[in-house]
Amino acid sequence: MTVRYGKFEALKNFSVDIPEGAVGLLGPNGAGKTTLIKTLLGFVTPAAGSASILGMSMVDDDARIRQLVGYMPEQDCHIPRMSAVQYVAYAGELSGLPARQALRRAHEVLEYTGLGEARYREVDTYSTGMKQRIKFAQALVHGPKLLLLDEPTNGLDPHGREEMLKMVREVANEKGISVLVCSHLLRDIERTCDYVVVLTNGQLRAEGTIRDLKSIEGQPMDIELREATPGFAELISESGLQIERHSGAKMRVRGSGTLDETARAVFESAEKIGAQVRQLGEAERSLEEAFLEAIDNE
Amino acid sequence: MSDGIADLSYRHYDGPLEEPRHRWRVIAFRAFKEAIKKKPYWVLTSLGGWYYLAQLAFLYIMGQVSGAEGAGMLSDEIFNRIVWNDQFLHGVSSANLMWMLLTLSVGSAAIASDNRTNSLLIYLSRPCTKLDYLKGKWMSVFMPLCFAMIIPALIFYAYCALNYQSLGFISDDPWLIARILILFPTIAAFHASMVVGISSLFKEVKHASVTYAGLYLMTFLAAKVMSIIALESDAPGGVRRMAEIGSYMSVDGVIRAITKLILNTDGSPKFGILPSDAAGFDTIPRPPEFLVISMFIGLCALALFIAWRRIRAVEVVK
Repeated sequence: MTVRYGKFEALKNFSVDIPEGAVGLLGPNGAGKTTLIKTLLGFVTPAAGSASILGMSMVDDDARIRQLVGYMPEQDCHIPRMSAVQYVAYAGELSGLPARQALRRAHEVLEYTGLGEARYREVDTYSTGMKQRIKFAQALVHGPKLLLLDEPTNGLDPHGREEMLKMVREVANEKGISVLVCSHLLRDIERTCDYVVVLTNGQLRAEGTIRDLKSIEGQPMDIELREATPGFAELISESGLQIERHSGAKMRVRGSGTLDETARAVFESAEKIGAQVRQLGEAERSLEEAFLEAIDNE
Repeated sequence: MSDGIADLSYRHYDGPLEEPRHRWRVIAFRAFKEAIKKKPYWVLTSLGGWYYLAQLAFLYIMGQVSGAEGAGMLSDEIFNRIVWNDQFLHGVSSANLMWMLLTLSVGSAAIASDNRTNSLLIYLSRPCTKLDYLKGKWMSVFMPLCFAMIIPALIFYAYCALNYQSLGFISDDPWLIARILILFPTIAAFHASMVVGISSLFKEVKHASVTYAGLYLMTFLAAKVMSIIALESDAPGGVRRMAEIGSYMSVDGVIRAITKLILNTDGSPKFGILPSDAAGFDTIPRPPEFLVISMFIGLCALALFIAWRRIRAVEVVK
């Protein structure tokens, strides 16, 4: 898919297959994340290409797709002069919920999002955090199969942010609901998603499970000893392992065999020298490192 | 999040959803329900029907004195002078200002307030197309306006049909009821189109209100000047005819012209008190049909085109 704003290409020959479940759309500001979501919703017409959502064509089944999708926009948006419950019920009716069901669901989702006690207040009077919650509520009201969340933690205090992430995670765990979280906050994505798509300058830079992205080629292992032990590093090297990092009681080693073989060599070396291994595990990068590497590949 | 014994875990909805079509109905009916709940709506609706009320009182008094010596002869003469179709023209002329205020009350926020609060993202991310949205917003203005315009007219029609059949109320124009049923929705459609178009241009409701009110009043004043030239000057025939047409070049004028066209009249003095050839604002001959229809359709189409162009979920800067 290619999306242009005049001469500027916001998405350049972008092609990706996003699996079910909780997926994070990561990228720096201006990477094309929001453009992708807006194109999927039909707000922007692609210059070339198309997309299929929930197995339906974006061109032929756009109305049906939008009925099965819940969208939480980045910016503040509400319908003026409406109480929260009216607003959420109205949003449900617009999606096709019968009026009575819409009202019942509005009460349910407002309760769920923590706005139960403020449900009869006009949305115009809500604080930033409450507006963020009601955007989430209106996206959920009609029981969507796919939730598109654009920067869901924007403007939230730490407590509100934790609660929002918890709700996103909980909803994503619900059977049959997929969630696409668009954010530039790596921690939010790490907390909520299993799969990540990294975008920069309108192009796909990396995609995969968070575990895969964080894993390091060659299966190195991180070791933490009780205390720095002189001679341990030499023994490790003699056993055929390569030391990649060494700092005090911590080191990262890489072997040519399997993880089990590397672990065995570490324990044998420790036993010989009398060192106490406190921690031993497969080494992995932080998501931030993986993200920066994906961007640097540009 | 509130604590307590309630089960606050997420419960999904797997129930039925209506077909993702005709979402405009949700927008229109909700706005209609909201509009008729407001006091100003009923106040302006009542004030808009003042001419019918005054005419009913006038007819009642004339009816009471007819047959009496002196005054009776006068009332018979007045009854003979009354053109029944024109009573609805006077109803429209007298209510035009109120209807403009009513239009502002129910319509100036139609799209402007959505522009201000980014609500279009909510509407258009649902199975509600741009056309659904425009249709819904248009209907949400049209329905309360049409209701407010047609109810007083129908009450007046029913009263006259029951009491003044013998004075030619039905026989003068058997199609009058059909004309009424076409006329008021047409006027409501005009106001609805204009205000929706103007509302789409702004993010502030007050700006949309001031613009429509300004357009109405400025063009009204210009048309009034034209009507004075048409009625009172000694200008040559060509100039006078141009001034006559010019007197319809306003929001109010287009409504009067379309009303005269639909009611098939050139107007007569209010209440039938003056002779039928007496000069007055309502007695200026209507412009040619093609001009009236072109002005009506052209303005509605232009306003709706503007609205169509302005309805965008995202502002795309090219």
